Amino acid sequence: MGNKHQINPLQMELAPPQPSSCTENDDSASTSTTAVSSAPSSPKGSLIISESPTPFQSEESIDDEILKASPLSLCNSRDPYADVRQRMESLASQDQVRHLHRNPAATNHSKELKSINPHTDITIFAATTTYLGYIVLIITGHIRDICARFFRKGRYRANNAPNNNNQTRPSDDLSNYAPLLKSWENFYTRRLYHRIQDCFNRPIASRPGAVISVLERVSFDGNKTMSLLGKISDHVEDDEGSDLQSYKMGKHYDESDGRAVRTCLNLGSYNYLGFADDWDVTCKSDVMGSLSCFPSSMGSSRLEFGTSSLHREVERIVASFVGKEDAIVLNMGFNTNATIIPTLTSRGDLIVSDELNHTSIVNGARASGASIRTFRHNDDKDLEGILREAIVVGQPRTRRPWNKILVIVEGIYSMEGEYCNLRNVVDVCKRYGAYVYLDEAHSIGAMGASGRGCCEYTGVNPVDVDVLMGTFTKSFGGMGGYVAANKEIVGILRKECAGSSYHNSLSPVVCQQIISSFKVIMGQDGTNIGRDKLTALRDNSNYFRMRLTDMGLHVLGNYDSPIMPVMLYNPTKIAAFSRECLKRGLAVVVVGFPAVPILMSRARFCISAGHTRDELDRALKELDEIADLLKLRYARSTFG
Amino acid sequence: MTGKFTQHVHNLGYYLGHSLHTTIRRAYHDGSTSESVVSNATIFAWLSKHFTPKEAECAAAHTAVTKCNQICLHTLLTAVTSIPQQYKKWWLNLLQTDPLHVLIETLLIVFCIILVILQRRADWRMDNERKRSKLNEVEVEELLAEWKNNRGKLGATRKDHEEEVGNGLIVDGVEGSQLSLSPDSKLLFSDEEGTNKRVVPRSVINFATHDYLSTSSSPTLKTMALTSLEKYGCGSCGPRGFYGTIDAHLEIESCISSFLGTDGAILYSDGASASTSTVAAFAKRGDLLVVDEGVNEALLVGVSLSRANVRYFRHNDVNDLRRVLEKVRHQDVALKRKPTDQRRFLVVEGLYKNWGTMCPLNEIVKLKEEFCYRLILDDSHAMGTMGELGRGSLERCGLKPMQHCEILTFSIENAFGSVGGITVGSEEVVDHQRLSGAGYCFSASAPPFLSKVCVASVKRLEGNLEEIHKDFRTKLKENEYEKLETEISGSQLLNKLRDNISNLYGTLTNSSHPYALKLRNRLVITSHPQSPILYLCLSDQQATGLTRNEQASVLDRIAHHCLVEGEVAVVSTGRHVKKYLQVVPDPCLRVTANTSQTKEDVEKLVKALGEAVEAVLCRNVFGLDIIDED
Ligand SMILES: Cc1ncc(COP(=O)(O)O)c(C=O)c1O
Repeated sequence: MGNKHQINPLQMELAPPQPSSCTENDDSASTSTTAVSSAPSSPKGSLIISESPTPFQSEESIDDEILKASPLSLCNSRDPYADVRQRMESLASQDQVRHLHRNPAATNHSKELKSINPHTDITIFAATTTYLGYIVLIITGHIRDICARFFRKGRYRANNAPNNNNQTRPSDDLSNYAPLLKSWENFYTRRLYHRIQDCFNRPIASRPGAVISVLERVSFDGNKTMSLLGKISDHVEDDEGSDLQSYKMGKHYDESDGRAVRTCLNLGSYNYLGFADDWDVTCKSDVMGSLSCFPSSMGSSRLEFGTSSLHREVERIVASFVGKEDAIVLNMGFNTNATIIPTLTSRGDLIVSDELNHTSIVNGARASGASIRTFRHNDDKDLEGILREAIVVGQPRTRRPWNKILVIVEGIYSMEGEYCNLRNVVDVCKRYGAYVYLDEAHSIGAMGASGRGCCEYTGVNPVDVDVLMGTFTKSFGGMGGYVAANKEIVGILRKECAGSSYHNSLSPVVCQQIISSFKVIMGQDGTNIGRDKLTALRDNSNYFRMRLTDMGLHVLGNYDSPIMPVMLYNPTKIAAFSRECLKRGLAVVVVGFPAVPILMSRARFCISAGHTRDELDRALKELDEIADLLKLRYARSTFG
Repeated sequence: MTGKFTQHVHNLGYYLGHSLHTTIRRAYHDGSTSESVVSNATIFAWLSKHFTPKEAECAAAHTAVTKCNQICLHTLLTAVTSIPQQYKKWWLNLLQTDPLHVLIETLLIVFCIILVILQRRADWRMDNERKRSKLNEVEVEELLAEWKNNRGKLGATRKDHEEEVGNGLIVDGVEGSQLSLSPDSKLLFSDEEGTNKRVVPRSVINFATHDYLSTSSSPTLKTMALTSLEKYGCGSCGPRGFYGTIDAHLEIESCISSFLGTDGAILYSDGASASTSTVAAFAKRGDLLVVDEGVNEALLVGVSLSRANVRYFRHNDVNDLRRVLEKVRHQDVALKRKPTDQRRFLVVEGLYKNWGTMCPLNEIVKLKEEFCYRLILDDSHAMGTMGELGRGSLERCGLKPMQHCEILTFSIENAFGSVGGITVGSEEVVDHQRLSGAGYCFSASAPPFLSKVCVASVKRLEGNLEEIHKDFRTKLKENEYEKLETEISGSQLLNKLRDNISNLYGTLTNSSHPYALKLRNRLVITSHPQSPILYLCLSDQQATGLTRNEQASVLDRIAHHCLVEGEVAVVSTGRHVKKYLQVVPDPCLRVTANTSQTKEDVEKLVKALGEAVEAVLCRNVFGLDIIDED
C-alpha cells in the first residue's frame, strides 16, 4: 500500500453531502422567514414551523421509492429547518472558526455565540448554593448514620439485610475482616447516590431509538433498591393508590408486555445516526441472515479460531473508511483502549493525555507502565509546553531520553460536547515528533460531511494521526472497537495485544451489523439514507443547541457536535431535572459527582438523526418550562 | 517534659492575657480622667493659637467626638508596647525559678535559627546552579531535534516475539463439531514441503474453540438470537447508567443469580473486562492481594490497576500459599498491624485457562477462612462445565458462592455461548460494582440479543428448555419447532460433556491405541483429567535443547499438520506475551472438548496428532536440525 496519501476509492465515490443540499428551497424559505430568524430574542417565535409548502416542492420530482425507503422521511427536498437555516449555519460556521482557529475576533461577531466555560462562568450564587447543598447532604447523612447507630435501626444496618439461608458468612465478621467498602465510598453511595438513584440506570423495554419505553420503577425501601413496578393492575388494589394511581393518570403511561412503562423521547442514547430507529429497513435482513452461517459468539480469540470473514470485512471497510492501511476490531471499545495502549507503549515511554480523557484510556495508560502526564483540556499550548519540557528533561531520575511519546486525545469529549482541536494538536506533535492517538468513539460516523470523524471535520489528513481508534457502539448501533493504523502497527497489535490474543472476539452478528451500517453511511446500499442521516444529525444537533442557548441555559460544547451538556450545578437539580423530564416524557441523562467535578453537575443531551423536528420542538417546549421551574437560565441571570 | 512545656505555654498565655487586661484597665482610667482632659485643654490651646475662635471650637468639638477613638488607640498601643516588658518580667522570673528550662529553650531557638539559615544558603546555591545549568534556546532546540531523530518507533516488535503468530485461519461457520474454514484463510506454513495439500480444508473438526457445550450449533439459542434481534435490534447504544439497561440485561442478571443462588449478578459486556474491573473495583492502594502465579492476563491487569500490594504464590501450591499467608501474619505482628487495617483478597482461577489445572478450592477456602481473606475466583472455564449441575468449580468442591467465595466472576463467552462476563456475590459486592466497575460504568452495555442468548443458555443448562420453547411455538414452523424439541439439555448435556472429556483423555493416554502410542514419550498431558481444556506439552526428552520459541514453532507445525492433513483443529499456544503474565506456561497444544464431538471425531484427532507428531518430530521433514532423532 504505497498510496498512503491517496484518498481511497470509497471516499471518492461519495460526494460529500452539502449541509445545504437544498439551496433552492433555502433561499425562498429563509426570505419568507427572515422575520423569525432575525428575532432571536423571542425564542417562542422561532418555534413556528413554516407549514406552507415552498413553491418548489410541487415542481420537484420526489423520488418516491427513496422516500418510502427512508423511514426518517428526511428527503432532501423538504428541509424541516428551512426557517432557521440561515441562522443555524452562520452560528455553526462562526463557532467552527472560533474553535479551530482560536480566533477571539470571531466571538465579537455575535454575542449569541459566547462559549461557556463552566469553571469560569459559574455564577457565585450557583457555586455557593452548590457547596451548601453538598454540605447539607453530608451533614444530614451523618446525622442519619448516627441516629441509625443510636437507635439500632435503619435500612443500611448490616443485621437488617435479609440473609436468605440465615447463615452467617465468615466475611461478615468485621472483627477479623476489614469492611469491604471504604467508609467514604460507602457513605457516598448510601447517603448521596441512593437518594437519587432512580435517575440513573433506568431500564428500558424497547430498542434504544428516538422514542423509548422506560420501565417504571418503584422503591419500597426509601430508594435503597429499585424494583420494576410490573403490572399496574397487580398493585392498584393492595395499595392506597397514592403513588401508583398517578402512573395510570400519567400522560405518557403505557404498557409493554404487561409492565408499566413510560413512553419517552430519548435524549440520552448514543444512537447518533439513528440505526436503532430504522433497523428493520437498514440492517435487519443482513444481520439476521448472518445467523444462518455464524454462531452468536465465536468462543475463541481473534488469534486462534475467532476470526470470521465478517471480522475481516469489517476491518477492511474501517481501514478504507478512515483512510488507513489496516485496522483491527476487538470486542469492546473500552477493552480496545485498555489493551491497545499497553501494547503500543511500555516503560520508558511517555503518554501525554488530555485531562478529560475517557476512563478506558486512563486504564490503558496506567496498565502500560509508561509515564503519564496530562495536559489542560484541548489546550495545544499547554501540550507544547509539556512536550518541550519532557523531551529536554528526559525520564525522571535516570534522565534518559524517552523512548517515544504518545499523545492521546479524543474526537468528541463525551461529557463536554466539545471536539478536539485536532489540527493544532497534530501540528504540535509533528513538530516535536510525538505520535498521535485519536479516540473517535463519539465522533466516528457523527462528524464530518461524510461521517469520517474528527479528521475529516477539522481537515486533518488521517495519515498525520498515527493511531485512529473508535467504537461501534455509538453511531453504528453495534458493539466493539477498532484501531486503524499503518500495516506495521496493526500487524504488531494483532500479535501482541491482549484483546486479540487472549480475549474472545467480537460476535459475528454484530460484525454484520457494523458492515450493514457502514454500507448505509457510505451509500453503498444504493439509497440516500446514509447521507440523509448525516444531514439530519447535524441539523438536529445544531437546531437543538441553538434553541437551548437561546433559552439562556449554560450549554457546553460546539456546534456540529451531537452532544450538548447543560449545566445544572446544584446537586438537588440533578434529580429534579431528571424526574421532571421523565414526568414530561423526556429521557435525559444527568451526571453528577464523581463523574464530573463536584461543582459541575450537568444534564447531557445526545441528539440523533432519528429525531424529528416536531419531537425536538416538543422537548424544547418542555425544557423551557423546566428551565423556569428549576431556575436554570444562568446565562441570563446570576440566580438562574 | 511535655507536661512542663504545656505549662509554659499556659503561663505565657496567662501573662499575655494578664498584661493586656491591666493595661486596658489602666488606660481606660487614665483616658477618662486627668490625661484626656489635659490633652483636650492643650489641644484647644494649640488650636486657638492657630485658628479663628470659631474654627477652633469646631475642631475641638470634633476632637471630643473622636475622644473615644483616641482612648481605644491609646489602650491598644499601651497594651502592645507593654508586652515586651511583661514578657521580660516573666522571663526573668522564670530564669530564677527554672534556669534549666530557659537554657534548653534558648538552645532550641538558636538551633532553629541556624537551621533556617543553612536552608537558605542551600536554596541559594541550588538556584545559582540552576541558573548556570539552564539551557538556552539553541540548546533546547538542539535537544528537541536530536530526540525527534532518535525517537522509538510506534509498534516496534518486541525482541522475544518476532515470529508470525496466530494461525491466519478464517472461520466461516460452525455446524455440530465441524468448523468450516474460509478459502481466504492464510496458512501459517503454506510453502513447506511435506504437506501434500496446500489448500485450506473446507471443514475441520473443532477441538479448538471454548464452546464446551456446543452452543454455536444449538437451534434453541439460534432461534432465541433471531427473535430477540427482531425485538431489540442490535446494539444498546449506551452504557448501563444512561438508558443502556434493557430488560434483557435485567433478565440475565436475575437468571444467573438464581442459577447460582446469589443475591445479585452484574453483567459486563466483555468477559475479560469483567474480571479486570471486578478486581480493580474492590482492591485499592494499601490493600493486599495474594495471587496465584498462574492466573490469566485479565486478572493480572486488574491486579496491577488496583495498585494494591501484591504477593504471588506458586501455581496451585497450597503449602506455598500458607507460607505467604504466614509471612504476612508475621509482618502484621512486627508492624503492629491489625488484619482489619487492609482489605485482603486471594485471587485464583477455578480452572486455569493457561494450564488446564484445577484449583484446590477446598484447601484454599480453609486457608482463607483461617487467615481471614476474601476470595476472588475467576471461574470462566469451569462455569457450565464443572460440577454436578454445571455451576462451576465451587459446586465441584461442594462449596457455595457468597458463603465460601465472596466474589465470583466468570465469562459467558465459553460454556454459555454469549459475549460478556458476569460477577456474582452479595448485594454489597454487586451494587458497589455498579458504581465503580470501570468496564461496567464506562462502556456500552452488551447487545440485548446476546443477553437473551445467555438466558436461553442457562435454561438449557438447567434443563428447562420448554420454558423458552413455549414462546417460540407461535413463531416457528412445525418442523423447525420439532427440531428444537429434540435438543438435549440439563444433566444429559453435562454428562455428554463429561463422557467426551474422559473419552478424549482416555484415548490419548490409551497405551494400546496405535496412534496414541506415537504420542507417548513425545507429548505429555499436563492438564487435569476432568478439564475440558486439555494441554499437551513436549515431553522433557523432546524439549531438551530447544528454546521456548523453538518449542513453540515445533508445536505450531504439529497443529498445522493436524489441520491440513488430519482436518482437525487444535491450537498451539506457544506465543504468550511475557509482559502480560506472571509465569509463562510451557508451549503447548491445546485441545478442547465439546458436547458435539463423537467417538469418531476423537479417533480422527488422535490419528491426526499421531501422524503430525511423527511427521514433525521423527521424520524431521521440515528440516529442523535442532531436533535430535535417534
Ligand atoms: C472516548 C471513549 N472511548 C471509549 C469508549 C468505550 O466504548 P464502548 O462503549 O464501546 O466500550 C467510550 C464510551 O463511552 C468513550 O466515550
